[in-house]
Amino acid sequence: MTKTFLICCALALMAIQCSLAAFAVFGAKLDLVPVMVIFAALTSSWQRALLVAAFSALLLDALSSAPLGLSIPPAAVAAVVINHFRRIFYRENWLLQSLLAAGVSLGCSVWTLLMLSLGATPLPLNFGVIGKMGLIALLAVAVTPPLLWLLGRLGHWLRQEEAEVETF
Amino acid sequence: MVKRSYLVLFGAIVFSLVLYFALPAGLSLRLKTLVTQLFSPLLHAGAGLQQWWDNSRQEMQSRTALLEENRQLRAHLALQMQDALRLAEFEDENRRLRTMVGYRQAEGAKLRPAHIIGRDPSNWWKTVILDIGSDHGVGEACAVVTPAGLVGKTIAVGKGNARVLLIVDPNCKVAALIQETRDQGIVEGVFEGVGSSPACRMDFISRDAQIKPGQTVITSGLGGVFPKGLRIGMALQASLSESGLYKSVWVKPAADLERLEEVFVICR
Repeated sequence: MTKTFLICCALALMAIQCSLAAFAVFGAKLDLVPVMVIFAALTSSWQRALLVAAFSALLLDALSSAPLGLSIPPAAVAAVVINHFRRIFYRENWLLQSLLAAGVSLGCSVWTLLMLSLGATPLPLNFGVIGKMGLIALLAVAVTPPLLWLLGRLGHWLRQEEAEVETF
Repeated sequence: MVKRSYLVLFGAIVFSLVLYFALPAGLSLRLKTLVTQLFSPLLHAGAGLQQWWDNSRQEMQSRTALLEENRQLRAHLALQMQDALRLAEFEDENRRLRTMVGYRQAEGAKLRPAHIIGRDPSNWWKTVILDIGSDHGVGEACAVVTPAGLVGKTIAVGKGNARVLLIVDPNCKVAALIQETRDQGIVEGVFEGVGSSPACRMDFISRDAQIKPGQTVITSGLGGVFPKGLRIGMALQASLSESGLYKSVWVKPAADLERLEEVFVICR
């Protein structure tokens, strides 16, 4: 996918996430950064995947009260690693997409709490917080396959796919 | 190619860590305010959509439920009117007594009404965005309240919006006291687990304090951010801290922080 299309998708997903921020399932809100990371990693080069992952994470930090830069490392690592292995992934597989979403979401949550524990806030490791991390991952699992399909269709319809990117 | 990609990845991680640890707080807040301002029209649209949904749900309530609600509200209003009359008497008496002892009258706070147009999109922080900012006289570190109680304080103020740190956020600290016993402490937010409602905890209370569930927690006025006497919430379960040096008590916020729609900013 082209850089402009990916950046527009990241902006749109973040706008959706902000609009839905008032709705929470047992305290867990929808996190769409994993969706963008996986979409960029599976459909474009590693440079673009890295750029889009970092941009999405930075945007989330800027729109929330999280310290700027906090969410970039897990998103960037996930984007590069998924992109590295994308030749062996069947990217239309919903199960694989769900597994990737769960992994990215859990990675982001664990990283956030670890970094917070370096500051003044003590690390809150209890069943409630671990359960919340699981629930956030479950929400990501639920929304990732349909959103990836939608973004893929949109990219195809707008002719944003690149010729050199192989399709399975 | 792979080596280069990992090198760039390493660079991105170093960049983010530099942002995280070394970016001055003021610059970071200005950047956040700028991005929030750019997203402001979308946030307004989202808030409008939510209001439309809430209104539609209310319109679909049955007539019986509405009549019952109306009856309860009328009864509540009658009680409130009696209270208001009594309070007016007390206020008058208080003013006369203060004049008699030469007490300097505090300036009345300026309350600015505001709508909530956005909430924190991340899962681990508790902030809301207001539709008023520096153009409306709102500054940083202003207390934000509802008629029920304290909501939080403003932390980043743009021209037409302001971000409010809620009292249930772990970064928010409020000097407080128990209204009945006058024991002082600090109220701070705690990380919310799955299914639990937002809550905060009052720490550093004297270990001899006699705290009972149901007592009222109010602001003590220390620190200068929150005026004295604002209701924070209700004391729940008290316990001795792990070190045994002080008591802690769980506090249920008086304001319904999950269903906030309109608030008041106390401008100084």
